Amino acid sequence: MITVDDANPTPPYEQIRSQLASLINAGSLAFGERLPTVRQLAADLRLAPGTVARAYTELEAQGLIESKRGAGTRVSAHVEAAPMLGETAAFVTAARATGLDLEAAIVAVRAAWT
Amino acid sequence: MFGLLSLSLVVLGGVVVVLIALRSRSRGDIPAPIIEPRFAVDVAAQVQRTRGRLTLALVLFVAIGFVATLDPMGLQPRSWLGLGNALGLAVAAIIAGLVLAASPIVSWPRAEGVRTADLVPRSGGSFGPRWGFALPLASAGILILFLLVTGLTSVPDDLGLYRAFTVEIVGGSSTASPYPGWFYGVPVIAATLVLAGVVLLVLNRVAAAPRPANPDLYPVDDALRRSVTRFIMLLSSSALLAYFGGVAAIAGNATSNTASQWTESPDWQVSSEGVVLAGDYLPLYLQPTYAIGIVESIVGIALLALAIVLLVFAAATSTLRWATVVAESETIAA
Repeated sequence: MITVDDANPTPPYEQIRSQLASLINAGSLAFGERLPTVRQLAADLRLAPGTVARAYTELEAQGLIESKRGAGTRVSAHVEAAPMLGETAAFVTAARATGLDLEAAIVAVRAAWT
Repeated sequence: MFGLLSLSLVVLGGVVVVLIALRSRSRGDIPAPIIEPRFAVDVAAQVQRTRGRLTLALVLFVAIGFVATLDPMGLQPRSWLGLGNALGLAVAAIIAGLVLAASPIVSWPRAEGVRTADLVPRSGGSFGPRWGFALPLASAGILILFLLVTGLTSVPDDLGLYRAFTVEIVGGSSTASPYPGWFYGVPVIAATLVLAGVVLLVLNRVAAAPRPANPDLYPVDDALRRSVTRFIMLLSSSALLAYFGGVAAIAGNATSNTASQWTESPDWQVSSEGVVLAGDYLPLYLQPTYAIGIVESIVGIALLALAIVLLVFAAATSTLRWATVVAESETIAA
């Protein structure tokens, strides 16, 4: 599920691109999974098809999705972090329990990384 | 071959009826969605709009089908030789389908601000069980095959039109007409293909309609789309089985007529008074042609009965029965 907010200063195509990229990177959209057509997504979000097409084009350029004539648009990226998703979820739960927000949690990860 | 084809269609139709009846009894096909009272006005408006469209399509189908098939006012020229009657139900179903497809079948109010979309691709087959599409498609295939067989076995009549059936008998031949040869078969096949295209168009329109902006309305949206899908499949299947039933009955009548011969010998009957004269001519039935004709006629009548049952199911679907349950729950919640 993705949303587009008119009040958000980020352009609609970027809102779509970033949400789809996050879902793919998080493994919520699996490799090979079909995405809705440009027309369907544009109709549901009440946007011009060109807006959704632009988001899809950028995701394709990033190597996250692949469009083929007749086969539709599919997720083409293998999520490298997939084996770590369980541990990451446990870390996020623990971070939330101690009152950390996303920025603070990222700082903690960065500190541990170095 | 004739009997086998038409019999297989009766079996298919019977399977459809039984499956629909079982699923309707379990109420598992279109369950009443739970909605919040704040959406009551939007849902009521949408339900009313969809119900109106389905009712209009149903009324058009019945009215056009009745007038075109039975021609109670005798408007069709004699030169058509019953072609209008043969095509009436297909044309009625095509018009009903086009009326449904003419404008967005499900149309929720335009929303500003935050809009949501799910990422599940939708297609024409997303809102019905697979068998609900496969069985009518198979029925259309059997009908076309049947018409190809009747076309190949037809012969030209006095006007040179392929609408007669003939069998060789001792000392000559026996011919009967009308028979669903190429004269009727080609237009009926074309109408069936157009009907299939219109059904596909409606299904695609159902899938392509935008989702409501608020995901809380998705269950109602799903129920509406499932209802329209079910309605168009039932209506088109009803039309298909009805005109196939007519074609099979007419083929059966012609086939059995050609196989019924009257000999020069008198017909005798054994009764309590002894052997008495039952008729001036002894009937002779050529087998298996006569039996095939009788089977076709019976199958034709069975198909017509199945078509009526499917039409009743379509009418029941157009009432959106689940929506009444929703309205009741809204009243309780309010």
